[in-house]
Amino acid sequence: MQFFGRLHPVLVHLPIGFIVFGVLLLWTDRKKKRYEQVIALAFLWGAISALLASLTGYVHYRQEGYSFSSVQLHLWTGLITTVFCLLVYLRVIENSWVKLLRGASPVALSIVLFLLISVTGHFGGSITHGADFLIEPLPQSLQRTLGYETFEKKEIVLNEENWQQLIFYDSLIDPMIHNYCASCHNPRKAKANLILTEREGILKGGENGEVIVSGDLENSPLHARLILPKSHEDHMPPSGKSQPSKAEINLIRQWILSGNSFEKTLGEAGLKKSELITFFRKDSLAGYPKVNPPPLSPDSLELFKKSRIHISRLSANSELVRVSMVNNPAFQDMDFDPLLGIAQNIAVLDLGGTAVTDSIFGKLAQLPHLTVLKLDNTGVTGAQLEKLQELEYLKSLNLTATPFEINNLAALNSFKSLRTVYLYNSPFTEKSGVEFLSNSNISIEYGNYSLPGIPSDSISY
Amino acid sequence: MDPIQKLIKEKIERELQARTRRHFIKECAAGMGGLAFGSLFAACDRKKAVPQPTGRKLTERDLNPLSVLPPPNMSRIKSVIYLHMAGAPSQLEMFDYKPQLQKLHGKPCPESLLEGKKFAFIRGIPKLLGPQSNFKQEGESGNWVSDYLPHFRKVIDEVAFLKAVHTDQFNHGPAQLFMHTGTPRLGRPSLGSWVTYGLGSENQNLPGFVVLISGGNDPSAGKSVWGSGFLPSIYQGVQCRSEGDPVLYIEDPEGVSRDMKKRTIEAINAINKEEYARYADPEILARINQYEMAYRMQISVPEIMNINKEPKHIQEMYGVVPGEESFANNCLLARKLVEDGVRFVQLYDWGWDSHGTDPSTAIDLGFRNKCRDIDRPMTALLLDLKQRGLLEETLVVWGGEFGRTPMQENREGKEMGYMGRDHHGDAFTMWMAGGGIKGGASWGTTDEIGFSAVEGRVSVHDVHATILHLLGFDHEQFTYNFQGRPFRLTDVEGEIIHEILS
Repeated sequence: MQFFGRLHPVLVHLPIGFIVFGVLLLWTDRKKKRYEQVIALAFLWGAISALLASLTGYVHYRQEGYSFSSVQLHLWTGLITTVFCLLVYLRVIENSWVKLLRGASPVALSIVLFLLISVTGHFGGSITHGADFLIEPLPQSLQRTLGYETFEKKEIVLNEENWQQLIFYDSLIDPMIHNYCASCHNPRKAKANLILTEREGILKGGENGEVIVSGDLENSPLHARLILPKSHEDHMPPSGKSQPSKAEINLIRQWILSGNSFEKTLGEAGLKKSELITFFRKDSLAGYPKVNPPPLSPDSLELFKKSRIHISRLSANSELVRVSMVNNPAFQDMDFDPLLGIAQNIAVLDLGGTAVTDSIFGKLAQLPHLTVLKLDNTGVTGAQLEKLQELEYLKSLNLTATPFEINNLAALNSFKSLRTVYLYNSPFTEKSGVEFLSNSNISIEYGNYSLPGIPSDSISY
Repeated sequence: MDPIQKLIKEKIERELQARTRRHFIKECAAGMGGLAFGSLFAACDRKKAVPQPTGRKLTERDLNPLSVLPPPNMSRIKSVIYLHMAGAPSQLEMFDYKPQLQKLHGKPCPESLLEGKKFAFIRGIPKLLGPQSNFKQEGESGNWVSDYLPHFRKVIDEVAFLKAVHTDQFNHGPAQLFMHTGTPRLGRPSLGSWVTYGLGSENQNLPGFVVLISGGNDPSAGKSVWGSGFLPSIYQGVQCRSEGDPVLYIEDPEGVSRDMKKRTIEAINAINKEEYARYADPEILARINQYEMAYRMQISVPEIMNINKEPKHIQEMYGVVPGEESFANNCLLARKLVEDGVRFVQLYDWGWDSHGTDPSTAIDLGFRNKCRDIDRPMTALLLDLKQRGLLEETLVVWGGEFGRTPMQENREGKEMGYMGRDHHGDAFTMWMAGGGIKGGASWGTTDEIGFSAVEGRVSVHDVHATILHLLGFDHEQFTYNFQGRPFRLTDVEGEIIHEILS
């Protein structure tokens, strides 16, 4: 009986052949009507072979333990196709029994039949090859437009505060398996009979036995195969698939060593922060404020470009910009006014080497997101520096090679986020002016480094 | 073939290249169509008969290939200065302190270490060679540095060491190509080309990627280490010289005045603009821009390459000798260039191949002199960048193409007259300093004789991934399509070395 059922994958191709042949003949012969008998024969055998395929299919389904829900679409469409094929045959031979199709044209009927057999075949293929067999090789963007859910990598991120309380398996191992293993070792595909997306599957192993032996790395293929050379046949994930990082492989290692518990927390498993350093969320802002200023218009950018003001966005997904006058040494205070139109956007402003004076500070005070300000090699003395104290984000102030006056340093005390002030090559001597400074967050770079000569400088060996 | 014929040949070839099938068909259509219908449609609006520029909208990049593009992510740094010691310096006399190796000096190398290993010159069983310098822990970090680099201890807390970098190449050419292009074979773009391609350069009067050479020789891999590979050639490194003309042929030829040059370029550009009106090929606009940039560069490059104007104390700190080709001069130039918005400055210093075949390549003689020659300049470079506020937006990378063996070289199995070390790629030291780098960090350790990595082994690809990360790129997404597939600097490898990032 089981043998009979296993003939199904062979027999299904017969009705497909006969029916497609019949449909094509019917189409070519629609005017001259020279092959009517052959067409009838094609549909007759189509119907007979479809019946055979249906019978074997049913046996196959009963014998091999498929669930009804997985085969039902294929089963019903298969039966409909068989019956419909018979009806088309009867219509073609103009049998008087069947009156209900008399009005329909054979060509139209045959096209419906063709669609039916295609759909049936597709459902059948989905059972054996997986529902996404056809879709899988298409580009991701096309898959999304077609409405298929595509694979999305799970991002593994730890928090400084509570990382030790997180469950090792849930927070790190499972997402990692999802990212690197799940596309083959899932319940549907289960390559090598191994399912890694579920706890039971991980413990059960696959057709080559267990994948984990607690505390034994060498006998745990889940780790051992990861560290084989990429060229090795048994290396996992297979070459060409995305590969886990060294830090991620170390996670699997630590998990197995700590007894591959599904409940232990990271702290209980004894993980050190140094091993997890790559998983902590890095500051993606690189120290710039988290704000969303209005987008820049291309026209205004074009205008600035013409006046040799360089403007570029800090990153492709931010509207914060860096403004510099690198090719514009003649830039003066009054040239700044147009830039107030994009005041919200300016995070880095490099006015180094330009002709600006102290009256620029009043204008700079209107740049709420200014983070880095460079006024090196200009004539500013810092006379109106206090106007910048409202700037919430100003972090770095470069006054290198300016005639900055020492007593103006006191203005910095009320600055909110200021960390570094560069005063090299200004009237300051080493450490002078510190008496004006009470804000301990600010460090001053006086520069004036030198490398005094030492005897070994002139020894030639 | 004499040069003129060569030029004519090149011109003909270029013209043929420019004449694509599309041009041919277009001209046929215009020509034949014009003959046939010219009279018929004489009354029609002439403007519509002229082919209008069609297709995609021109971007800033079409007009100026070096225009600045934002990186995909926020970046920690704006520029890179890469100091490459061509020939591969010995990590064992500079940064990787191995007291145990000292004790084993003169003993034969354990055979287990040699199994399956290939060396450039070592044959049979070599003897171990103890470190020839004295080490001390310096700075707050307590990182080790040898007395071959007495000045460098001053900046030890600024730099982060990678002590277990490895490469799979043990000959200079391929290893240098690997270090700078991500593959030991020819044909890929260099790190600097990738960066200028990805980000452009702010200063429109200077090249975006400048190469400076010292030590009397180009690196063994030749100019390919700063080549643009399959990227447009505008992104290749521009070699500037500290001796003679800073860039070859930058001076106007004798009898050609600045004015005449200007008129020439205006005339060429006028013709090019007509060409553009005909073909609407953005390459023509790029070329117009290039002529204008070259004209501006004639003024700005000699200016920036002139280190005489630097104050005396700065010159002394670097130890420069104006008018000569030296690593010190190049370090000072590197600072000037990044100060003026150049994106990538690549220094090569030749002469580090310390095999011990003669005094100049002996670990305790010539190598020590080389150390002295770079010690002051590279220390001065970090200090100078720091005091100007440039270090927070610049990344400085230092390294060779591989490291050197803990064993004394025994060329052809013979004992050698001088102390030397063979090429060794299993574990060597590099350092980085600047924006986004955790100063004072040290990542990676080697075994007790410094032969291979024990912890924190990183690859050349990892180094590249880290540099690109600091510049705001995801090295896995930063690609260029060539020959039907996207190419990456890090190929299919590379992991960011978070341990040295702040």
